[in-house]
Amino acid sequence: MISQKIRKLDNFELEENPRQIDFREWHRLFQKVPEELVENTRYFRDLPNAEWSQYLFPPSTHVVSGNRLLRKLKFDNSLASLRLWGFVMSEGERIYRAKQAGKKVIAVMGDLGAVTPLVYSFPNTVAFYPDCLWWTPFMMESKVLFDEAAKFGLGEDCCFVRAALGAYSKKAYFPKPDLCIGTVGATCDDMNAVMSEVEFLGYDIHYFELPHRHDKPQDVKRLKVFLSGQYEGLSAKLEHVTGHEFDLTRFEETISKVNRMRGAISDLKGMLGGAGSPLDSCVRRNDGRGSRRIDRRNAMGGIEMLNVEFAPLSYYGDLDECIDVIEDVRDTVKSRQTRSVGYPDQDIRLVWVTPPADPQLMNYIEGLGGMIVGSEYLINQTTPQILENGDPFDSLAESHLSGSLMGSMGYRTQLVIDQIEKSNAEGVIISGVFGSSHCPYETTPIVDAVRKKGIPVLAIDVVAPGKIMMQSQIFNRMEAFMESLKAARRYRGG
Amino acid sequence: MAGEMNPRERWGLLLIDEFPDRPPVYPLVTSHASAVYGCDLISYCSDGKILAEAQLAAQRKYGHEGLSVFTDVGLIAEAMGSKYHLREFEVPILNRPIIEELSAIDKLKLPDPGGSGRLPVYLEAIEKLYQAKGDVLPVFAFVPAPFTTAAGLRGIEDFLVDTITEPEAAHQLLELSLEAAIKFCDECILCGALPMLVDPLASGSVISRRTFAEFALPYNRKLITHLHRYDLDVTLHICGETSSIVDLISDTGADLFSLDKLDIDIARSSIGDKVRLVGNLAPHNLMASSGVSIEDNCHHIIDSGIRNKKGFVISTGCEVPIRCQPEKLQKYIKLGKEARYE
Repeated sequence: MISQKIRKLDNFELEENPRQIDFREWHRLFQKVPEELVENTRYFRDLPNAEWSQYLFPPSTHVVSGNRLLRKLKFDNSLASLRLWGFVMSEGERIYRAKQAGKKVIAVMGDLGAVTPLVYSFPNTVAFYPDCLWWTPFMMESKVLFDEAAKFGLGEDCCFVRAALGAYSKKAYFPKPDLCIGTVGATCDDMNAVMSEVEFLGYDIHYFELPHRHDKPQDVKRLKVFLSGQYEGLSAKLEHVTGHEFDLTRFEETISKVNRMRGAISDLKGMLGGAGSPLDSCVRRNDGRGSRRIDRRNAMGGIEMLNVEFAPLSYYGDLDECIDVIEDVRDTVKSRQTRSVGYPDQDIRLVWVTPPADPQLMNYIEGLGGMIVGSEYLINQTTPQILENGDPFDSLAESHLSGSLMGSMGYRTQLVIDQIEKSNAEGVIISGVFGSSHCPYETTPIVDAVRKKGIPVLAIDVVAPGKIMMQSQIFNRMEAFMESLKAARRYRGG
Repeated sequence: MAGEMNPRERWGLLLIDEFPDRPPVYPLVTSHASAVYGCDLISYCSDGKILAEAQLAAQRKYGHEGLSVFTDVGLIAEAMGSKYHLREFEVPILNRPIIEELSAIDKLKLPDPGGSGRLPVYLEAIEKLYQAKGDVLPVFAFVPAPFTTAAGLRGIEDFLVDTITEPEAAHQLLELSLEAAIKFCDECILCGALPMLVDPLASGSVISRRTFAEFALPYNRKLITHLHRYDLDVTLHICGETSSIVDLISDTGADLFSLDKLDIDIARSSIGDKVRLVGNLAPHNLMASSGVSIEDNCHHIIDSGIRNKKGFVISTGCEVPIRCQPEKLQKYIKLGKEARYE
């Protein structure tokens, strides 16, 4: 019999000061984690007697499963980070366990987090996001999924999301979904190509159309009506698949949870971005109790924040647990900032644009003294609070209309500029994807706009796993970029 | 072929209670790899690079679905001071145990995985194999279980006598062996391998059920509990006859049981709802001299094993003989790969 599940870690820290540690250190530090925490940190609270639902394990656990990149990464040393990594890395198993436990499993593709709130409002239903399989080849340092996608004609001229096609074909990365939802229209057309091939493999896809947003106020109403209709159609499909009718009360409860998570992420980004001058050794912040000194050293790693920011795409298969995982990270950062502690020697403020498929790049830039204080990961639609008491489909549509990808390049460029201004960034890194349709078009306008603001930009293409020579060139460029930022700081007298 | 799973994917599904396209086919190709690679066993057992290259060569030749880092069951005992004799064409054997008098137990030191005996050979081999093929093939590090290591420290006969006449000293030795095994397992994990416990001397062919329950099982359980803390699925291999102890295997906590001379039907009915089975073609069937047909002998194993509730891995009962007939092994692997769940 399993005892009470752990909900919150209460800022329990294994070490006094924040630092980034490798998987070897985590393996040993893990011995200090109380047994009760390991035993009782579990997913799927509705299945209290499941023997398999523990997930508080260190990176070495997942190294043994073939995630070779974990041996090269540096992780935050907090218990909240351990929980976050354990939760993220167990997602694949969790989706299989969901199916074994009789839950409906819904694959959501291409929407980047906009339809999952509706999916989770149906009982006994979980969503996962096949597009995120793009991280698997990097985590495993493997070409397996890319080679599999290539058998269907999707090669290097397609973005890394083609890994999802490989996974569909191999039937070894997630169980057969009860429903596949494919978002088409004003979204990633590489993923659209993947969806077409997935359909040829025999999977039934419910298409959800995303209209192009003209960014003109007069269009908003029309677009909302269209999108609302799309959500209504999707809801009917989910009713059919799950065998449950749409329930407004349950929907509102779900939206409330989603908003709580989005709020926690927004708090986190705010805390890490924080206002402040790059030249100050610290910033002052007024929190209502008077102005106080806040150390601006980095209080959480870029790769942990990447995991956090991608949580709203499908909540890693368990919305309730995911909220606690994210809030633990937030509470840890808050506690560290209150204590004025952070990683030593990381204080060059950077905004990161487009999520890097290779998380090692973020570690690398941090190792050179960078701290990621802002981001634009193409998932702006997962950030706004959703109206809780309005018409359900209108509320979802309105939130969806803030999407990064569905409008003009100018809109996305402005999202980047906003991040720079909010966080007083000293530099911007754009990690494009070779073969991705939107990257070549967007990178140049973003670079131009950022440079006009006087902010240096480094634009790189993430290199596929195994291309070591090309990878070293990227590292060289990062080193030169960081040197120039440090020189600029010295020039300004910082 | 589109959609075909690789071994890593197959094992991954098996370990989360899913049925992959077919069971993994993983005969215990260990020292036989030296014959495939064309090296002597002294080099194989004492050079991690050669061990790794030989394993890769054997895997290329046969296409079996896992890499096995194993030289001999005296590995940890040797690292703690026992002397083993390395031989050119046979596996190492115990030459002189470190504990000749029981009073010497207090002076025993835990080995350093990075420097003691041939432990670094293992770690180097794991590193190389994981780096070369870790994305598509699981790497298994065969780690001698505490009972077997204790016997290697004391000498087999003396240790077995100790379990009767000096049980406290035997337990003391077992505790040290357990600590050494935990330490070494941790290093194997960090190099990317999944530890697989081998306990040949805990076999029913060697000890009684009572001795197993009192001296082998508790230490295996502690070692497996340590590995479970890291959520790792642990295989326990016990050579020879195990019908007298098979019902106790699940008490060790083992997730997979690699069985040797035990009818797979008995294993299934005894522990098959709790433990995945790995086995168990008798290795001598793979010798040219055996004169038996692989087909005749493997059908019962595969047909029965594949119906095991908790899952099944098509394997051999023990190590593939160094001088096995390659065609026979190829045949077994081919038949294994044709197996399908009903």
